[in-house]
Amino acid sequence: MNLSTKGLDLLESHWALDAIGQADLERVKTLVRERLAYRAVGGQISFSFSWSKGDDSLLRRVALAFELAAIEGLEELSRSSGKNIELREQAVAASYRVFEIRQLMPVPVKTLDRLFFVLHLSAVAYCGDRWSDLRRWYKDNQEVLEPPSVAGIEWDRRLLYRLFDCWIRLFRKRGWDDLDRIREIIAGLREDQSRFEQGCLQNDSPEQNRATALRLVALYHWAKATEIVANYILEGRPPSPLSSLDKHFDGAIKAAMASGDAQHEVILRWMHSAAWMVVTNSLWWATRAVNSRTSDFVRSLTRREHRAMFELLPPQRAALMEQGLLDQAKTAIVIDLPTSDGKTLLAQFRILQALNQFDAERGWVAYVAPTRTLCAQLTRRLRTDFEPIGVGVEQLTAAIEVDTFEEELLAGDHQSFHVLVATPEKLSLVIRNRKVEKRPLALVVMDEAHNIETEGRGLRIEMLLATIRMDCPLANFLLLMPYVEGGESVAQWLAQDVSAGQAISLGTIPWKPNERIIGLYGAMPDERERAGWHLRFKTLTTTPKAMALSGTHRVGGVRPINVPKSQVIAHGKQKGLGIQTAAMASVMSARGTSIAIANNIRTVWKMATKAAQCLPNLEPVPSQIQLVQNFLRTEVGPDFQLVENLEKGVGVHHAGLSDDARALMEWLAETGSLKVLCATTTIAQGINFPVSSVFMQSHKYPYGKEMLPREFWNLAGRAGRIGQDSVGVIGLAKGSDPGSVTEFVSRSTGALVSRLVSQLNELAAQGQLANLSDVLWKDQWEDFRCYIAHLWAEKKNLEVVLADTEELLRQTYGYITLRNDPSQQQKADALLDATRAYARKLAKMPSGVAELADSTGFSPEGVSIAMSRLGTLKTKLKPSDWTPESLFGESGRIADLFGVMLKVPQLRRQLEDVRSNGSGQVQISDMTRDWVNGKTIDFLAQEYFTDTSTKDQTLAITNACRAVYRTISYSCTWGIAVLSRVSGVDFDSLSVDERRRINALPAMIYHGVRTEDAVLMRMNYAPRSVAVSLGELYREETGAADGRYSVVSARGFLKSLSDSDWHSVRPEGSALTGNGYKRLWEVLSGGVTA
Amino acid sequence: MKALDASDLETWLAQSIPAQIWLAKELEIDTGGVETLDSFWDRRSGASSPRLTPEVFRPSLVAYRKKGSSLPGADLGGLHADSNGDCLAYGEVKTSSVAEYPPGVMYGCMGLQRQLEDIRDNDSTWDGLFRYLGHRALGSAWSERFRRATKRYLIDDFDVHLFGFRVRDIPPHEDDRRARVYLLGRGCPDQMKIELYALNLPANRIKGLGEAVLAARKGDRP
Repeated sequence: MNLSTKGLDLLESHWALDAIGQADLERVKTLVRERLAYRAVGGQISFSFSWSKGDDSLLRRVALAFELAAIEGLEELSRSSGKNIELREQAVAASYRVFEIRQLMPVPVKTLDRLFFVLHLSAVAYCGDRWSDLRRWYKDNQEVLEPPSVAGIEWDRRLLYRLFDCWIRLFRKRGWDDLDRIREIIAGLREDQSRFEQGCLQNDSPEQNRATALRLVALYHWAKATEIVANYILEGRPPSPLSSLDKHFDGAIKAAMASGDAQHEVILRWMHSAAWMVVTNSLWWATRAVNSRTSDFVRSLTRREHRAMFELLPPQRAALMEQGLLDQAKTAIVIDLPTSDGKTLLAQFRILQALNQFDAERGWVAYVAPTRTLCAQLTRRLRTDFEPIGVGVEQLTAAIEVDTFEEELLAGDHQSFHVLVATPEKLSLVIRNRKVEKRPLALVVMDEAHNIETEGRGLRIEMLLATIRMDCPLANFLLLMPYVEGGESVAQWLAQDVSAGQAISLGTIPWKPNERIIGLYGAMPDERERAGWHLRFKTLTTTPKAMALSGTHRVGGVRPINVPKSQVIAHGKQKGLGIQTAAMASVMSARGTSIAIANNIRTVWKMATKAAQCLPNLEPVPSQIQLVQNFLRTEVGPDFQLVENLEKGVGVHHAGLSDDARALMEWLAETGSLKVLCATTTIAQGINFPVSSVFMQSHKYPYGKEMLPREFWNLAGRAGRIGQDSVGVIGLAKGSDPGSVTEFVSRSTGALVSRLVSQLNELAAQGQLANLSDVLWKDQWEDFRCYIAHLWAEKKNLEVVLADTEELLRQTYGYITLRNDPSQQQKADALLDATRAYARKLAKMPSGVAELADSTGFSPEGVSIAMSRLGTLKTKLKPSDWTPESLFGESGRIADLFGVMLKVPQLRRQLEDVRSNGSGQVQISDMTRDWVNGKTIDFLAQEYFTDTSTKDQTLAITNACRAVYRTISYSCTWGIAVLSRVSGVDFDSLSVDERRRINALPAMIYHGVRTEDAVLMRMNYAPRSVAVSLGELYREETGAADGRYSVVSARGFLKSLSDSDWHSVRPEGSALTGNGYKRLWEVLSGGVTA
Repeated sequence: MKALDASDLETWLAQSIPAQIWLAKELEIDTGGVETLDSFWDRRSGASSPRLTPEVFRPSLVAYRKKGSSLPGADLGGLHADSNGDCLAYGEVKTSSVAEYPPGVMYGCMGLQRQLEDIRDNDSTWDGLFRYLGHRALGSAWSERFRRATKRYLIDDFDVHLFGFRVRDIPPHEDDRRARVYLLGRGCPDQMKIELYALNLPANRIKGLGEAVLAARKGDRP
């Protein structure tokens, strides 16, 4: 039973609440918020709340009123649904409210009072759908969970204490062993019974013996019910435990009544309902009617050592049990759910269902994520969860080319992979080129699917989905997105049938992972010190997504970061917003990891340095941090600033770091090792882990473009960790225009808008709609042109293409939206005309251009330019030029190739961006050569990016990283892959080995290694500093064995390596030991998650 | 203080909740189950609602409570009708056959006065009884009365009625009146009402009274 808005509304008019009166109820709401905030962040924020003497009594009475409303429906919670739904909803909502208040009350000191208080609060939490809050309360109140000693204690009391212990375990669900102990405890009680029971019944009076006997009967029933719940949570057995539970709890309650034990009777009534909730919240219950693959998955989730899972969060339960997530008739499902962790589990269930559905056909699943860090993170998670049940998960690199090893993987049998994780661009290549043959695409899971409306990649994602609709008719869709209203239209578009599309909106349910405080911060002069200042935090009440708290409150002490006032306030105006942000994050880091966000890398480094200066050294430095420091010393350079910052628990996360380094920063944040993580706004695309607080220097991207409200809330929503923080804190620097920041926070997220529609709207607003054909060459239409080229490549006949244009367009969300709206017909017609006109243009292009465009991802225009430029090279390219030795050797032709790439619009911008930091095209090619030949980032920074006037090493390293990880590994890899195709070399005349080596060239650039074996190691997350030597070891071990060039075999090899194997390949002087390398690899590849 | 002569005693016993509590103890009723008790008290306690519940037997379970039973802290929890309508009522009962003035059952850690003070001052006791009655009120004949009492309690949790009941079977003595019950009033919140009863039976009538009453009911008048 989920908490519902209806249930909460019903409560508003409940007679007991009526008695309290509206004014007092409002006062209680305010008090609850204030006390929660005070409890959570009172150590950091000096709240200016005013509380009066009668507040405690008022809170107590209102909690009682809610409890009475809960009691009225309590029995309904321990019955199968279908009875009095309203009472059930009332009971859940009222319990939710009771917990809200009682969690703030002090726990009684006397033993029995304490036990009953904790059991009551726990039962209330479960009945009110707040088990995750309860777990956090447990974490904060460990001492009150201790079961009392049973030494020398009478038998009935011994039973009670043991049962308390069991239920604490059942409620907290710390892991398999912790729960399994319950069975031992109950078994132990059975043995104790024969020893202690008789003595307990040797009282003087018969009344007392009778009461004791009845009490024992109640406790025995309760113990049996406890055992039943524990068995079910652990094993899912018996399949229907509820009637047995009823029997024993009914028996227990009757006996408690007969013994005259009122308090016992009351707690048993609550425990009965809570036991039902524990069972029906469990993974076993939610998946009891699903296939065996899912049961295997649930079993493995319950038994894993790290983060074992036993139950579902309310939105997950709603999706699975009430909203048809696993309904096979629903071919497209859109889930609106803010918390990322919750979404991934739902996706996993749907994946297993799809694999099961397409088992005979050997179906596969594509999991699409927007960034390669997110892809890597998802791969680790899916692999950890799925490997134990034999579901293979593979990740494709983010390079926009399918390299030789990936080709082999995709063409392999169905055992090679079940789930493929990729970026949209990569999946697009795989689908368009039909790289997975004879296996149907069963399901596409698209994470962060709201990107469909973004300017940069929205059109590409929409065209990818349209292509899948067209080319993979059996494919189901699961789109995961946060804060999207009205997902039905997207679901119906993808389902191609109104009844087969399902929108599961969980963003609007009243359940929340935790509370949030949002506010604006700024600096205030503080005369207590010379040039003193302090932070003020104004809490906002303008958004329903956060707690309505009023007031302006002081944060931290004087000069929370040691800079003079002039650096944060000048002439009464706010300045140094980065410093203010770092200060907020540093102060708030006392309660957990804080993220400080700025809109450029330079400010991020500055924030990190300032935060590190004001925070104390970590004593001792956690082993996780030491590991990452050693990695950075080895892979980047010993003097890299981040190494020093980490000494204080300060990390950074931005595009100027390698994927591995960013993944490790995320790992440190996830494990709670970091105090402050300073990041750029781009982290909004990649962050998939919760933190305690989020502070933003600006809500704008570089160049002043505002974040979309949905993007902001997706980022802000990470503040507050389920089960750990009762309150997440989000702050924005108020700067010089607090009004506009407040207005930004208040904006609604709204429905999803197709980028295609947005672009047409922009044109219409400019009066340019009729000229669509003339502007179609512009960059923002590139993905649309590629989409048409795909159709062309498929049909290869102008008449057919023209005839199918309407159908082609109907595959897109934008066109369907326009066609379904009578007022938008003009735009739809314009799009249709422009598409046909472009098809005619394609027909006139040289033969093969559209096909090459389709197979490479270049636009047809880009392919034409590349072909023409290659044709003008003084010396034609030969097959021998396309070997690693030649291309990356001293006299290789790489510079010529970069000359061509710089003319291709799709690559030019990024290449020129690097050139502006270096000094000319030769240097990009030299740098690429150095990179492939194993030079370190430190070397590249000194060689190509050191500003001799400032000698800013951090900036040089940042620029080197950006050049390598954005430009070289993205544009250069793509460019080389395409140029090798259009170079005119007759690949068919080459041997298999020669072809494979040429095909591996882009991957060598992408991974920064020079051998195929090293590429295989890098594809499996081996650190670059050992990839080549590991590759050699791999080659020695495998020789010329079949399947040597297999990603899966290479992973098997890495798994088999011992500490000493890793030690044997480490480079001389490396800061990492053999064990360090092994552990690092385990972290990066998903073997270790915390 | 209330003085009753023998002819009024039967009526009084039928109407007074504290008297019933005391009587329950004296009768040493064999409870094969709560239902039997409930039905018994249904007959005996027409003026009180809810009907006497199992915890009314707490006088017989005092020793057990000392060992830490989970009872909510008062002998009696129920409803009482006063001039403002129904309100929650809590009570304590003490019996004594010892000839001392004032009686020991009035003072000390388990004395009536101390226990009444505990109830008076301990809101967790009120809440515990309130919750319990909340569960029991569901579907009962007195649920409306409970609702009315609840409203008063939720508006002002001092708006309750406390009963203290002391039964003796020795001759009355003026020292009884000197019992310092006024101390209870000194710390009593304005809205809270405390009512104390002292029942003096003929000498040596407590012991065996239960059997006598049961016998009388069966028609075996001694």
